Amino acid sequence: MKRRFFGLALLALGLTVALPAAALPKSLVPEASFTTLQGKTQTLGAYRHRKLMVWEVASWCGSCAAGLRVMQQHAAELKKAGVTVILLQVYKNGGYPGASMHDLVKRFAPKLLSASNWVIGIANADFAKIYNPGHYADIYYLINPDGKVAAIQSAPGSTYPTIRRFIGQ
Amino acid sequence: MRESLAGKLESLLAALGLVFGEKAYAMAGIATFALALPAYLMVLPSSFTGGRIGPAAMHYLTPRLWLFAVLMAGLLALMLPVAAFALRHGGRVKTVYGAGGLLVAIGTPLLCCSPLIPIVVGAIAAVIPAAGRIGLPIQGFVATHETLFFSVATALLALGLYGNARRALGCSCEVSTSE
Repeated sequence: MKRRFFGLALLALGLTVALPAAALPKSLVPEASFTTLQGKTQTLGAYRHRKLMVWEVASWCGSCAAGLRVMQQHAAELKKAGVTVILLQVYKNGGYPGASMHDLVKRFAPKLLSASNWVIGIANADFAKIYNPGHYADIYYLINPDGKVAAIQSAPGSTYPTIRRFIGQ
Repeated sequence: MRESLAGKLESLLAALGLVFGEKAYAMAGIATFALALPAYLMVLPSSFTGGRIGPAAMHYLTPRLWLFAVLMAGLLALMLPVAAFALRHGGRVKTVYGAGGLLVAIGTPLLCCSPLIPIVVGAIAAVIPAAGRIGLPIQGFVATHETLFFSVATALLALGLYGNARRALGCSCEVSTSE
């Protein structure tokens, strides 16, 4: 019994790196909506035909904070490559209290607040349903100008090579 | 009668003296520490890497994580040779605290910001749909109480060491009385 428990625990740990992509969208969903820090409601459709990174974070998540730092370091590279980054707090911050989206970005990547290719906001319920049905604290999509999802990953601080490959496409 | 804290410490030190007085156990302890420390240094910061364990995670080490890694590796390096000593001398070893300490230490950084909880909760939600909502709050709780979880893991390892030290001493007494 004890052995079976530890076996299951090890199996569960082994599953932690790969994001199961079965239920996640494979292309841009134009009607998915979010609210910007300025309080405007926007849809993803407004960013069609662009090289897009859509990144959802929770403000209490360690990999999100680490990812913000790394993304700020690469901000110029992303801008030069024409990538628009839509950075959104997960719907209702995942149901757990934490810093506001503005405070999170201000603390870990303040330059991104004024970067012209960054759109920062909060995911609406419909957005969460489409782009984060698995309730991940840290998940991002790389979307080509034709609307097709090129990659789905988490923790850009550790997976920046994936973003670099997307930039280079 | 309950043993005082000083008495417990005395028993522990006596057991450590007994076990590590033998060169083979001392070498085993050093080897365990040498293996466990890098492992902890790669595991504990993995909440910053979305659950990816490896040398890249060491980039996110903080003094707090260093302290926990050294403490846990040290306790493990003491506990395993003591348990081996007790086992070799016919005693029973207590694995539950040590194994619990290991699982809590490894599990904590993986419970936040990696797909572990979403996968497990997703499986539960297939049967009980309402359970799907608890995944993120659990991750949030773990993420914001990481120090508490690492302290519990350290305490479990310390308990494991103490329990096995008592067994090692018990074995030693049995051996000495039978002579």
